[in-house]
This record gives sequence, structure tokens and C-alpha cells, in this order.
Amino acid sequence: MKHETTIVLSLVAALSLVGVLMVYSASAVGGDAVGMLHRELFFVLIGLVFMTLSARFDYHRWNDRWIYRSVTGLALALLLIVLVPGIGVKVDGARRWMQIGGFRFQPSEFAKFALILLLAVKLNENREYAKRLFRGFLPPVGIACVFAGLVLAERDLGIPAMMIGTAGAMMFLGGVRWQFLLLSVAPGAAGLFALVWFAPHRLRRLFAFINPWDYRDDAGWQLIQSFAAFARGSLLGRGVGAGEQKHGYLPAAHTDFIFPVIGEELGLVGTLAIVIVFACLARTAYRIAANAPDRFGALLASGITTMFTMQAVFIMMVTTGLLPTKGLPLPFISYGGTALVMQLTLIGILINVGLQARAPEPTPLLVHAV
Amino acid sequence: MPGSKKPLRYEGVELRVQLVALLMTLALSVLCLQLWRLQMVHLAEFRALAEDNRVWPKRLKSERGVIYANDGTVLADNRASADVVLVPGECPKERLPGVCESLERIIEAPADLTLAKIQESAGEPFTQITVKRDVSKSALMRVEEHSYDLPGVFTVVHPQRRYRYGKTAGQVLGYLNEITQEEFDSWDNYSKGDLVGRSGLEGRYEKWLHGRDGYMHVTKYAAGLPQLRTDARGVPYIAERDSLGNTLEEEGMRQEPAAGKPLHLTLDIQLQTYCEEILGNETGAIVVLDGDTGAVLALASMPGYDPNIFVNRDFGAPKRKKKTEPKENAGAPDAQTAPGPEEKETPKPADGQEASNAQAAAGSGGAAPTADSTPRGNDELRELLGLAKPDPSRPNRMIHRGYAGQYPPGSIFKVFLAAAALEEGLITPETTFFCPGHFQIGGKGNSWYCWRHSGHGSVTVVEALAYSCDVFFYNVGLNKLGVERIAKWAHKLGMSEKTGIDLPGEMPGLIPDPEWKRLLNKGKPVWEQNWHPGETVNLSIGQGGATTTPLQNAVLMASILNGGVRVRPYLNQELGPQNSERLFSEATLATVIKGMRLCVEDGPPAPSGTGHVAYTPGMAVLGKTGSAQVVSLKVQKMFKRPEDVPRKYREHAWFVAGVLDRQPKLAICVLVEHGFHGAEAAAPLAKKVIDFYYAKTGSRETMTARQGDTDGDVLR
Repeated sequence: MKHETTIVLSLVAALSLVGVLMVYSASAVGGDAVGMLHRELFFVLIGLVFMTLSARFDYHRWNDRWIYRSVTGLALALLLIVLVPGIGVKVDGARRWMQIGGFRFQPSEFAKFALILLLAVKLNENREYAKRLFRGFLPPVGIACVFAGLVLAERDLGIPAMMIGTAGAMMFLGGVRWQFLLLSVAPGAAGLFALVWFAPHRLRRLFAFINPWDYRDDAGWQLIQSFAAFARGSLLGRGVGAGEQKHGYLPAAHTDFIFPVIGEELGLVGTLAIVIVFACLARTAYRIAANAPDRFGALLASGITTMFTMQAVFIMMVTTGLLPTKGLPLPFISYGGTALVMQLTLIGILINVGLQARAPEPTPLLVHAV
Repeated sequence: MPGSKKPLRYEGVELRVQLVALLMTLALSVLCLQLWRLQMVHLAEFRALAEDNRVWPKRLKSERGVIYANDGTVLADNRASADVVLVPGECPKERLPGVCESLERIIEAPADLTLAKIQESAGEPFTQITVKRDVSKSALMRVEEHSYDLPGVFTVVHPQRRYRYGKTAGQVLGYLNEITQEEFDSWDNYSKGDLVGRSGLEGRYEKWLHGRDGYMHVTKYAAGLPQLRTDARGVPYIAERDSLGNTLEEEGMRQEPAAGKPLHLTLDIQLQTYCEEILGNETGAIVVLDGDTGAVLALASMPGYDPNIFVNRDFGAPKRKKKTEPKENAGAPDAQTAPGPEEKETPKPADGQEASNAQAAAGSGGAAPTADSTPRGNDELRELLGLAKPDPSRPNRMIHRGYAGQYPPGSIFKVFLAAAALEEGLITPETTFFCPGHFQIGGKGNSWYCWRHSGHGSVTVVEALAYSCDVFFYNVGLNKLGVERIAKWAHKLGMSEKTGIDLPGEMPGLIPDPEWKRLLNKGKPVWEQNWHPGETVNLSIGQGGATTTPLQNAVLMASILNGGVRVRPYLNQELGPQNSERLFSEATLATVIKGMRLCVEDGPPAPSGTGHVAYTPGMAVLGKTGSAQVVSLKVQKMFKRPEDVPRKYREHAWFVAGVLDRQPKLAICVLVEHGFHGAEAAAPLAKKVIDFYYAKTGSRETMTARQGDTDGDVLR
């Protein structure tokens, strides 16, 4: 499986490179763009160190009870601590960050990893009872709900949605009865509806998504500016650094809404390339999962893959107006320290799974599918 | 090692994997399609829509109409008020705390407050956060000087109402307040947050003074507003370019605002100032009309308020501001009654920018170094608007006592009675009644006394007016006119109804009659519903439930002066005079005038009239004193000497006066609440007004009212 790990590595490297370039471009509008670039490069470097470490760390040891328990415990503790005023830093009304030295740490990004790990452990342990309701279905649901609920308490809806989605996919692939999953769609949807309905800003965003032009001065503004960025880019784009929308017109241009900046500066060619790179990355990563030496590795790898693929697809759909506006970083590309470091660390784990893979079978089950 | 050799394999796994893959593929395909749509197909359309979206109409606020006095002096106009604003998005994040501290140093805007405001609007970095409203010119210059150290700090300028004379005529001009939701929904051409007239002329002529706002299309900058800035001369402009050099203002998309119409008043501001000055600390009113036209020359009422307070109030001030600013007047409740430094000085028309500084200084109570108008302004506002706990010992400052204060007319009602009885032919100038000092109905029963207990002897109507003989008018009222005819003439002369002055909130007063009493006591025993002769006796000297406003009495005075027509008092010159037909014959007027002139005659040969204080050599001054009881005589008798009577039990002092042989003919009514005696408290004020006015003007021709069109659009 050396081949797949090489593909994954090069694709991730490509995305990160584009990310560094575009973050620099998007933040070069007055302000300290070079400082921004330095920080971005610093995070990439840290991420690479962590990736190397996790790639060399035998993934089976994550299944060690002391390791996965301490990872989970640490994640939950951090999620709780960040809610404490004074420790958690409030930015834009949400308390999601912890100030450590000159850097901000986002516990929810770490929690995503803890959740994937714990689910992989539990789904692996419970494989005999996978079809059962109480021993097979409800425990992972409970775990996912605890994590999602804690992140939700930080007034964040994007990451909990990703957590629930990833958990669902892992359970589905882990052999849980599909009927249970299908039945839990209704209460899940109801919960989501309630979360949106009772939060005016979310409701406004939903309406703005349905018809942005009616909300052009507030909730629809970002989406319309995003459309404008894509439209200005056309086929070939205006060239790196030549975009105009980032000049104060498109909010969050260097973080969540970096995709429209790519659209404006690199055109349809650039955006399609990004989509294709993500598709290839997903395909290769799922192949690694399919060829994992054991069930734990397969679950771990598929969880990691689902997480970043889902997030990428989600935020790209948001920026193109296919989903209601909800901020999430575009994996490997958007500016954001914790997210970048965690994503690269997870890629390291994926690579470790890939490196330990069995010799590919003549007809690998997953390969032809993805 | 945990885990099986066959990783995911179990029955149906292929299908599941394929499902997940299908979902992913589907999502990615849709994404690609959408990208194609956005970047290739609907390209022009999306571009146009997005461009269109950037254009945003910026309201250009119109100026409110200027209010002028009769000589063209500006009473109320608009000045440029500068706010210091901060746009967090235009300031590097790490510099924000430093900038806030600099602002605290430079313009005394608390840094923690500014930071809190920034935090509140953290989601919209390009909104303008008001750091401080209505800063002084010097503060503005300091901000400009430090502009290099203050990234993201701008000044915005907008017109703000200014009452140049402060408290003078404050109640007549009225005050402004924020538009309510209902008004906003039902009126055209208003925006949220507009200030609209709430009382006085500002309220009455709201639609006249309110202009039409203009707009200008500007390119919206991110989620915030386009940046209004001021140049070195303090002239506002919109930032023309963004950081890329794109033009922000759209060409040809501009409509200039239209200012409100000016309002020219009949008010003589010098006279008004003087009237308020001589009232001083008394509670009362002085009304001065042009006797021929009804043009209001002065309409003074004390105590009053400064309408600037309502304008300078900081509507956006956060509620917790109280914490940072200690209450200035805590522990010294009287501090507010004592006139502040700015109240003592005679109000002078300040010009240009000085006024705005003066305003800022006035707002801070003079002593405090801060130019912020909130602390004192808010306390005073609370008191004015009745939000603070009312202090019963302090008179209400919101009521104009000239046209909205209703008082028993007392003896000045005798003018009305004499004129009515003469005109009806019930008495002649020769008719006499004997005054023994008291009066009984049919010669028996309860006694009514004349103020002079020794009696006036046999008096004619002229003498009765001059010496204010009560018994004469008891006889006229009860035995000659009767209550029905009193009611008829009250209606004719506009007593117990509004005079129609162009001010909101006028009160009609009340002249009781049997019909009114029956309705008032409906359901009670018959004897309580019936009118009693004794009540007519009381009514004859303006007591017994009768109330009038000083303005009504001035109007009555005017009709004596101008040959017997009832005038409609007015302040807006464009309304012009509106007189009734003649109500009195020459003979009637001649007799009443004779009586009222004798009233102000001083000394021998005839004894001095009650109003002799107002005697002016070489001028035909008419007058009538009045002292209206507010409590029964019994209460007053509880005190041995008149000086012992507590203020609240003392009579209201009245004096009506007129000048016959000058142009314009002044019709004056003075009321001093609890002034005790008209002759002592009110008559000297009338005399002062007469002296002041004619000394100032000499012979004046300017008083001819502007005969403009009097079409209906003046009226709301």
C-alpha cells in the first residue's frame, strides 16, 4: 500500500501549498499579510511534525485502553474548560478558543479526533453485537451525542454536524443496522430544526440561503459576495492576488470563505481542480481504509476520511449556495492553526494505516466502489 | 492484537460502501455543476446582481426648518454636530486597545466602554461604533491632529437642532423626541430615529418644519456602512475609494435633501426674554398680544425648560453608563433648582461654532470638565418627562401657564361682566349700586363681602371697575345679567373655549352654568344638580369654579382695545389675523375703557385706582387687577396677618392691561401664581412690560404682520 500513501501525501501537500498561497493572497489587503504568512507556514510546519510522528506511531497502540481513554478524557476536559469564561476566549460571540501563549487552541478540532478514535475502538469492540439496538447501536450514538452536545455548547453548529455525520458514516460502515440509522434521521432532523428555529441568527441565515437577494444587506451579503467572486473568476480566474472580493467585500475570505477567493483568482479551472483533488484524496483514503490490516484500522481510516471529505464538501457547497451558510474551514486550505495541525496529524494516522496494509487483493472490495 | 484479519467484511458491506461512495460522488457532482453554473453560465447575471447589491442608498438627512422671531432673529436652527466613530475593521486588532485608550485621553470617552461596544458588534467589523456624540470643535481638532495614531477613527457630521435662546421661549418652541413606531408607520417621508416635534410650535408645525431627506447611492463596503468622513474644514464627505481604489460613490445617483420650510413668528424675542426675566423665580405667565391682530408678541411662562436638553440627549448611550459616571446631584436635591451658571446669564444669541461649544459646556453643567451632555441632561430630562419621582414643592416645568394653565379669574372677570351688562343694555354708565361692604341675596341669608369691608358707597360701573367693587358686580351678575346671559357672553368672548392659538395643548378654561352643573352632578340629589343664586354671585367676581387662561384674558383685553372684535391669537406670521365681527358698541367700550383707565389713575383728584402702579404718564393705559382665591376665606382667616398665610393658600395675582394710544396696542395679561394681590404682584410686571416695549420700539411700523397666504397646509 505504499502507492496509496504516496498519493495521499502528495495530494495533501498540493492542497496545503494552495492553502498557503491563497491564505497569503486573501489576507494581503492592508494589514499584516506577511505576518499572516509566517503564522500559516509555522502551523504547516507543526502539522508536518505531528504528521510524521503519527505516521510512525503504530495505529494499533491507539487502541490501547490507556491511550484512547486519556485522549478522550483530555478532549472532554478541554471542551468543558473552554466554556469557562476567562479560560475560553470569546470571538464573535462564541467561546471556542483557548489562549495558549501567542496562539489560540480550538479544543473542538481535537475533539473531532477523539470522537473518531473512540468510535473506532467501540465499534471494533462491539462488532459481535453490531446488529443489536442496545449494545450495538445506542453506545456509539451516545458517544457522538455527548461530543456534539459539548461543542454545541460553544455555540458552534458546524463541527457538531460534522461529528454526527462522521459518526453516522462510521456506524454505517461498521455494520450497524441501517434501519436504526434511518429511524434516527427523524429525531436528528427535529433536533437540528429546533436548533435553527430557536436561534434567530441561524433562522435568518436559512432564509438568506433560500433567497439571498432579500437579505442582501445582512445575512445574504456574504453569499452574494461569494457568488460575485465565482462569477468574476469565470473560467481562468483573474490571477493569484488579483481578486477584488477579498478587499473587504467578502467576509471571512481567508478562513471559511477561501473557496470563492480561489474561484475568483484561479477560475473554474482552479475550483474544479480542488474538487477533483478532494475526490481523489477521498478515493485513495477509502481504499486505504478498505485494505487496512484489521477492522480497527479500517474504522479509524474511514472515520478520518469521512470527516475531512464531508467537511470539504460541506463548506464548498455552502460557498456555492447549495447549503445554508455555516462556517467551517476548508480542510488543508483555510487559515486556522488547530484545524490544520489536527488535519495533518489525522493524515499521519491514515498513512500509518496505509503503511501496514495487507497486500492488495486481486479484487479489493472498496476500490471499485469509490 | 485486537481486530480481525478481515477488516470490514460482513454481509452487505459492498452495498454500504457503494452507498457512501454514491453519496459522495453525487455531492461532488452537484458541486461541480454549481461551479459550472456560477462561473460559466450565469456569469453575467451573477456579476450584475452582485454589483447591484453593492450599491446602497445612503440617507442624506434634511435640515429642519428654521424658526425666526418677528425681527428675523433666529430662534431655532440647526448646527453641525460631530460624532466620533470607530470602525473596528479599519484598525489592526492588536492596536484597538491602544486606540481606545488614546480616545479616552483625547476626548474623554471611557476606553472600557468603547471596547465593550466593539465587542458587542464583533460580528460586523465594518459598522460604525459611536465613540462619542456631539463633540466640541476643539475635541474634533484634537482627533484630527492625532488621526495618524487613530486608525479606524473618523468623525461624522449631521445636522442637529439648536435653540439659540436656550430656556427663553422654550415651552413655546417645544421640544423634539424620537419618532414612535405608529408615527413612522403612518407618516410619509420619515425615517427611524428621526426627531419629531412633541410640543409647542415644533409639535404644531411638525410637517411644515420637517424637510424631505435626500439620498446618495454609495458602494457598500463589506458588511458595514460606507465611510462618512470629515475633511479639515469639518465638511462631511463619503470616502471615495476602497483599498483597491474602486470608486465608492455611484455617479448620478444622488438627490439632495430639501430643508424644511422656515417658520416666521410674531414673537418679539427681546420682549419674551424680558418677560421671563421679570417673572424671575415666580411661577406664572405673561401674555402680550397685538390688540388689533392677535399676533402674539410674548408668551412667557415660568418656570420653563431648555429644549436643547432633549436634543443633546444621547439616544445610543448604554444603560450601564450610570456606573461610570457618579450622579452629580446626589445628596444635594436643591442643586438643580439653583440656577446654573448658564442659566443666570441673559441668554444671548450665540453665533456659529461658538454656540456648539457653549452647548457642550452647558450640557456638562459648566463645572465638570467633560463635554458630555449626558449626566445633567439625563437627570433633568427624567424630571421633565415625569420619570423621576415628582417633587410636590416644585412647579411643573412642562406646562405653559399662559395657554395651558387654568386659573380662577377673580376680579379681572369684572371687565367681562361690565362689558356684557353694558352691551345688553342692562346697566348704563349712570346706573349705581350702593356698596355697604357686604351683600345678601334678597337682603337676607348668607353674606358676601366686598374686599373693602367698609364699603365703596354708591358706585357707577366706571368706579366699580376702578376700585374693583365686588358688591356692584354681585348686583350686576345676580340681578341684572343672570347666569344664562353670563354663559352666552362667555361663549361669545371665547371664555371656556380655546382661543385657537396655533399651539397644541391649549386649555379651554371653564365658566360654569346650570347645564354644566347638572351634568357634573348627574345621579346625585336634585338640590345638588340645581344651580343656586349664590353660585351666580360667586361667578360674578370670577370665583366659584370659574377658570380661565391668561391667554383668554389677553384676548378679552384685546377686544376692548381694538373696537370690540375678538381676535384669534397666532404665532405663525403666515396665519395672519382672524377677527370676529364687532361684539361691543362704541358706547360700551367707552365706558369700560373709562373704568379701566381710572383703575390705573394715580392719586388726586380722584382716589388712586387699584392698578395705579401701572400708571404711565402720557400714555393711555388700561388695567384691571385681580386676586383669585384658591382656598375659602375661612382657611385664610386662620392666619392672623396676611404675611402668615402659607404660599400655597395665597391668592393668584392677576393684572390685565392695555395700551390704547400706541401702535401696536399692547394687550397684556399677567398672572403670578399665589402672588397674593394683583396690585402688588402682577401690576408692576405689566407696567415694566409696557415701559420696556415702548422704550425699545418707540414708534414702530414693523409690527404689520406679514400678510401671507393662510391656506390650510399650515395645519397638520
